[in-house]
Amino acid sequence: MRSWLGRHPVLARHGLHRSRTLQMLLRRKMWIFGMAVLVANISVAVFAPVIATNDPIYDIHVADDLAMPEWITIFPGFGDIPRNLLVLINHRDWKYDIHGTHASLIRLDYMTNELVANYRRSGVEEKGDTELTLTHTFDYEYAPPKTFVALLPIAVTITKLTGVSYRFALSITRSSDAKTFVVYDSYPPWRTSDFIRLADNRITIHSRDPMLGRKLGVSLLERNIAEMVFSSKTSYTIRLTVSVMDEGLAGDIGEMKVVLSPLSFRIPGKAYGILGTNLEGADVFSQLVYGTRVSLIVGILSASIAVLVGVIVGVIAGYKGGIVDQAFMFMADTLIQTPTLPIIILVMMLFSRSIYVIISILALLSWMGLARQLRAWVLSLKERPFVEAVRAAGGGDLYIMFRVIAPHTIPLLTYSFVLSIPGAILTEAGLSMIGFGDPLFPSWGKILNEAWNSGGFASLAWWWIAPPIAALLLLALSIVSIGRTLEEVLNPRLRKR
Amino acid sequence: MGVDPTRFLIDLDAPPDQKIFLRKQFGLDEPIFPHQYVRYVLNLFRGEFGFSFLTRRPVIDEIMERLPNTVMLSGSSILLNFVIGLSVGLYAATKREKRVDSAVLSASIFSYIMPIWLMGLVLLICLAWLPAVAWGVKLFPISGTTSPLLPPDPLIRALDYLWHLVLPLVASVIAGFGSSTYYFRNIAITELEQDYVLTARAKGLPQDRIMKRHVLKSVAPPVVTAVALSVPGVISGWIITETVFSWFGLGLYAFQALTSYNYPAIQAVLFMQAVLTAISLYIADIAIAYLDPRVRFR
Repeated sequence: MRSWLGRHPVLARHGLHRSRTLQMLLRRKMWIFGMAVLVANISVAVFAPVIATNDPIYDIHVADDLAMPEWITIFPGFGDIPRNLLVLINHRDWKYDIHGTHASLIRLDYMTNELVANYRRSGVEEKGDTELTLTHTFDYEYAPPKTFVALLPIAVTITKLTGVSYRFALSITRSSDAKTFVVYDSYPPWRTSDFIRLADNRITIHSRDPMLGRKLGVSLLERNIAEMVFSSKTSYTIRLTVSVMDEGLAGDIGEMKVVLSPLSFRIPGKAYGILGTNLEGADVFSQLVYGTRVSLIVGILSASIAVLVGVIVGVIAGYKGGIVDQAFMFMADTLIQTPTLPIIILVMMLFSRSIYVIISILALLSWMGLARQLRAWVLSLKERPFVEAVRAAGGGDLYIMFRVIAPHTIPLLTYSFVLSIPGAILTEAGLSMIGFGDPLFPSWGKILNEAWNSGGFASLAWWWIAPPIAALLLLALSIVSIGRTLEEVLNPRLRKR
Repeated sequence: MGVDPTRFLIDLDAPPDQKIFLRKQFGLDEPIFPHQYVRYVLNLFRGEFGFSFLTRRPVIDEIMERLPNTVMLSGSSILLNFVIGLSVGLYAATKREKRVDSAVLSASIFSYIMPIWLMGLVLLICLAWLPAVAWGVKLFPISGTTSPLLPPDPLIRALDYLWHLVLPLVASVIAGFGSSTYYFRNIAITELEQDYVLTARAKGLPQDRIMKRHVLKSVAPPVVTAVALSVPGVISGWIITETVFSWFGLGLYAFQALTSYNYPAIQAVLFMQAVLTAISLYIADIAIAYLDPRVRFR
């Protein structure tokens, strides 16, 4: 049983003592910095679902596009950037008013959270008009927004009535100058029971809809409707009007039923979350958090595979010598001269863009340097007396190679493993940057690629571009400083005398 | 590459006998080895790399248009990197374990981890997009190798070219000088511990004379080798960077060829890379034979 505090036979051969090695490492600032950043990255990667506020791939339009980080609002001049505002109007929040000739025929009712208005006719009523008006007032206290979205889940059913038609309209009234904007109107035509339109019960009103601009008489190229409507910080009234026109046919018996689910009125913010949003309105912070996973997985997996292949090839080549050695080293030399990026892009073009394909090719194209180094070490190690002793005691080739010689190369393996991680991470980021990443994994390179392709640079969206760059550099820097410190401590040639 | 080249040339719904005829014309119905391969190699000697499927022009013409740009960019970047690396590395080696040395070391670590394309992105947003969008000043070009609609004055054209060259070159120097600096510093440190340096110092030679006369001479062979070994990566290593800067060079060409299954172009670019590798290593061997008295021509 080896103790972690005692003298490890292999480390001791390199003049190292386990506890002393740890002490030497802990004394270095680079090691502490690197470990701190790495541990932070690993914990972010592990707890990504807890830390991230949104799904990185599927959640879009969580705020307005290119929303700035929310903390920017503490700076002067940015204080009144519109935040996310959701006005959810339940059945109890409406103020209602019924007037007209047949006001008594309308009965309001509540069903769970739906508002139900019944217009029941007994067949003897005269001709007349009735109007049901629902109003809700809310305050808006930010600068003019760029977008608003209203979801109007209304369903109108007419049973057995032939002479009754209806019309409903949604309008927004600004209280400062009492100006009213009709954002939706079902007229023309007056609707009757034989008027059927699909999706009529769930109407979406978007301020960037060109048809809305035509209704309001403005061109979307010249004016932003949301800015026009919410131009001042005051209270606004949403008004839903349902008009019923009764032709007064005799013997027309039946009912009209209006069911209104909670109406949601949303103003997506121009300031959102910790790192704002991208052009699709997706949360950059969540993408960044999940990107940590991809980078760490790619770096660690491909470095491990590369080290594994390097150990097998290097030790066998060094120990066996002869034709095996020459064959392996010829393979390694050929691969060293092979251009890496074209090969990777080619494989991804032909087979798949899965992250595991990237990892395997990266690993299979980066084991050669380690194999060569190991071979040189093993060449000298195998002449040492202890190897001869094991052989004399009857140890087989495999036993000597991987139980006797290989443990002696652990210091070299450790720091070459660590030092080959950042290369893999940065290559993966570069490939994702030019569009060769796994489309289902939100890597840091993919964020940059989206910023590059969809105008993040032209709109100077620093909250979109700077975080992935900084995260990549910080992670690579931390791993390189860990590797360099390990190299200095474990490599006797580099140790300061 | 698992692609039928005829689908680039004629309609997808052309009759199959036409496709077969076309394949026969290109010699694609023969076995790949040895017939097609031998013909390909023989054509290489005549400088024929085939036709690009996209533009239907000879690949060699397209490569020759782009080769000067790549040579300009990567050549100047390799040169600058090694000049900076050599001077800074030797200087840091003389100031070993002082503040200058540790500053150089941390700068070179930073530069070592910084990929050129990432540095390029940083420079593009800071020096090209930010002035252009925020202040309306066209400080540096956002992409490309030359500006459109230039007067035919060669001086203006040259200046415009250099103006476009600045950002990729600066990016490659910031992101590239680190590894050469670190390497040369370590070589120079081992050299400085040799006995001949001690002798020279004992003779009373000043430090800069020791460095220039003695150390530089013995450091030269590994420097030449390092330069020669950095040439092979030129085309494939610049794929991402040239794509980021839309630099009209072979890296971007290789990327475009790769993403459009344009295999004559890919073969030609990789062949160019192999030729460049061979030439640079050969020149390095000759140069080392001159520089290093231990190596002799046979």
